[in-house]
Amino acid sequence: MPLLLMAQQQNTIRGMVLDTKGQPVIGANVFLKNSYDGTSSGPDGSFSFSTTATGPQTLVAAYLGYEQQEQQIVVSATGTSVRFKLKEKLSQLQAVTITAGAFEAGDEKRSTVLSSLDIVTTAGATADIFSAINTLPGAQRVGEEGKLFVRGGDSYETKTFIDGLLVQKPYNASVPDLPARGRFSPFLFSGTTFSSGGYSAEYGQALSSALLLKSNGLPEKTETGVSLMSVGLGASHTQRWAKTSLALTADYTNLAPYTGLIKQHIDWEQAPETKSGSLIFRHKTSDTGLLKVYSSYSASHLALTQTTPGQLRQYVELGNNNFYSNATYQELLTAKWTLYAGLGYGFNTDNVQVAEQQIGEQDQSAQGKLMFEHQLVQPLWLKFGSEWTGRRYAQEYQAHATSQTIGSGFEEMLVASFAEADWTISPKVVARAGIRAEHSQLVDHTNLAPRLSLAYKTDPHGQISAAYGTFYQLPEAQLLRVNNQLGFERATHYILNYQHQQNKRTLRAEAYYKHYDNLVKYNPALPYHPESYHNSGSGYAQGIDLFWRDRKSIKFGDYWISYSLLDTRRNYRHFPQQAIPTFASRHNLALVYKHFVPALKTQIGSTYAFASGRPYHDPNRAGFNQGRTATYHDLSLNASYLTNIWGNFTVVYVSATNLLGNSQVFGYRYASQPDESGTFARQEVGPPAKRFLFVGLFINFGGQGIHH
Amino acid sequence: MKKSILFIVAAILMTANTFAQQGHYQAVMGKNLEALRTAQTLEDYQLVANGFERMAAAEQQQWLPTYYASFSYINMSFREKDDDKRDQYLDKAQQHLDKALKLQPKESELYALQGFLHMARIQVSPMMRGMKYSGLAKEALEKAKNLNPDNPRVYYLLGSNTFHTPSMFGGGSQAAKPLLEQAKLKFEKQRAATALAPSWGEPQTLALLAKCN
Repeated sequence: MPLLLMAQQQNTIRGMVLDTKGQPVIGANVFLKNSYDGTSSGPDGSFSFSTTATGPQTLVAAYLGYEQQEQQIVVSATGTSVRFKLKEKLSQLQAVTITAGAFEAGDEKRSTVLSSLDIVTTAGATADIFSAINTLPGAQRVGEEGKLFVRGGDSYETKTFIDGLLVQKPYNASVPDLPARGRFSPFLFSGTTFSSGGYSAEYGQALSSALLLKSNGLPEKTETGVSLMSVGLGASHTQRWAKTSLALTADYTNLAPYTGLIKQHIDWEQAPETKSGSLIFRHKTSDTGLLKVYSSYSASHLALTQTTPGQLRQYVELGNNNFYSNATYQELLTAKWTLYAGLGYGFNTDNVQVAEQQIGEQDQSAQGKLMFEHQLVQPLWLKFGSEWTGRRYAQEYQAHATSQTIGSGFEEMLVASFAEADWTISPKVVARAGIRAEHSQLVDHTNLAPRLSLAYKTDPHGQISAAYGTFYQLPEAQLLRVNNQLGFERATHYILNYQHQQNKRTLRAEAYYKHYDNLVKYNPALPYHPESYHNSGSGYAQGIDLFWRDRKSIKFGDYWISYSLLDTRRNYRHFPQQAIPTFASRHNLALVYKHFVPALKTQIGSTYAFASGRPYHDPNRAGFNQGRTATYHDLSLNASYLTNIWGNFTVVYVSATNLLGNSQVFGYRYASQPDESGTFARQEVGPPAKRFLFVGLFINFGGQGIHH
Repeated sequence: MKKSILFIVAAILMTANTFAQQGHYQAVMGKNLEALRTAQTLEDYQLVANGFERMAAAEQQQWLPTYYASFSYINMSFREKDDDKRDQYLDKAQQHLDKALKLQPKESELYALQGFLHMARIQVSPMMRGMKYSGLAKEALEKAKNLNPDNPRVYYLLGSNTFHTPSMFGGGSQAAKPLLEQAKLKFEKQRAATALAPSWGEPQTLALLAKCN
């Protein structure tokens, strides 16, 4: 207790605050612990203040972005001089991150390149996540499929995961030449990671890429939404309580009025009709724990008359029922341990009729996953876990109404374990090493897949990243049901990436080489003989992906350009030799532009897509996959007009694809038999209509408005 | 006798000491508040923030120093051009505000400041963050209003939030005007609990009100 009646002596404490490079830290807070006495460092890093304290004291230097430092000093009448060397703190924003192969779109990390709103508002997308991802580098345009083909890989080589759990059927049911669409509304997700290669050991069974979707947390408010569209209507209601929320949606889509009005290339007997509903449940089990449940069901039906090459007409009908549900639980056990548990279940039935043939397919799968994340020491993070995936597939085939029904199918149980470590070696270097082991009960094979990545921060805004990994995948169901003893197909990835982000502009360049092994091959003359199937195929894919995004140069404007160069060949399935697959085009370019016009309260978006010619097989010529289609162009436009109806936030959305009316040929289908002149007749494979027009009205009751 | 005199002297010294310590606290707070009032640039606010942080570190039971430290960091975020740094300042401001809320969980000024913090988050990315943080700000400000319906800052901040919301969503200058007029009246009648309690916001209210005409 200081005796106040004595005169107080002022002692001086002075010194310098520098960083580890010897540069001055300006405005740092320097003070005596447990006292008000202190000051801020000046423009040259020096500081000086007086205090009535004496004897041994603790002097603290603190500045945002640096590790706080304390020094034990002795305050004396003769003055004390102290020197501080502050170390930069590893903040999440400046920290180096592994970017090789991964394209993150989300709202949580400020360093992400795309936001969830970007996915939703990309022109030509008509709210289909996959067609928005198609404008990113690495994705190939395959218009008649509508699915994701990544870096010379087939569509089955890309898998979709929601909250860490596999979605067996992320696309809606479709027939050949009718593009599939994603089942899930992009509004459900707050984060998307499009991994075009080299993805984490946490995931497997995808030779080319993984699309990781992270669903939203608790919604902010109770609200109701209604949508009226040229193709159907929908309604949703979200109820929010203190720690819980429940959302229910119902949708009905029927393309009949639309196809009646606008001329189609397809002869619809019954235009696609879908009834679907979903349930989304969230519950905060604690301050740091969250339970999420998602369930959806859809029933769809369509019928059309297809003209085959050779002018034969055949009737095609498809009925589909799909149910998918997943539940995930995440909790922070301690400051250093995180628990993740997930369960998923999917059930899908397809009943297809093609002319006289009847095909019924049933696909059920279930998945369970348990994972832990642990921070061993400050710069070392560990992630490890296990998952099991069960699958039951059955197909029944009847050639004519009177023939016997042939059944085939299989049951599979895949168990996997993985471990991955992230080591931040320095603020500029981070390394990730992982290993994944999988065992398939069906084919009785085990695989061990290593994954490695490294990132080095070259300057405050740029970094180089490299990744290597081995990826295994069980062959597709239609191959396994003939021969269920096939081995895993394998791909090895080598990726090098450079990314630079500054001032709302991003440049990304990535070079990759993929080598495929053990691809399944079969003799096309004997498609039902198990002996004709072998893992003897192989292939390669190499190329460069470039991405440039600029949100600054044009006021209210935002654009990105993505270009991919691809060189690939493979020998798989029915191929007689190594050839370029029909889904691969050498050059792919997408230019996406968005502009907000404040006076009109409208956001206008446009996407221009270009792809060089794709190979097709012409049986009239020697060789295989020798033909090349013309180049592909598509210019699409969309506009979102923001307004309100009776005080409720409303969006009026219109979009049109192929504005310029380009003729789009994706390939050719040839007759299986030559005609009288000995030529195989052919037919163009193109889009279901020259253009697709869409108009929608979305009203939100009880929601919140948007700030400028 | 001597013992009791010593006892009394000790008691006087102790009380005098407490008063002196309190007097010291008042004096330094007053000095820092004056610096806050005159602060203009980012560097000015950094020095003010440092001053309040020193007091907050020494005074673990007082909410005012940590409140003003938070307030200073929020003001710094408005004057910073780098988006990442802005969020860093706001994270620091939130840290201080959380500490203050633990000390005074029912203080209207703290919820008003929370609303101000949420509004500051919007400027980093208006299109993406506007909806979320505008809603969170309103929630915090309503709570502040319930705790003290005469807090003028609540009405100023609600008015400012409404002013910057596009008119098609129920915002705009005309919708903000009544809130800002209420704020103006409350400022005139403002009687701060102590000389150190928050009293800011009047010039900003009048400036914004002028824009509504």
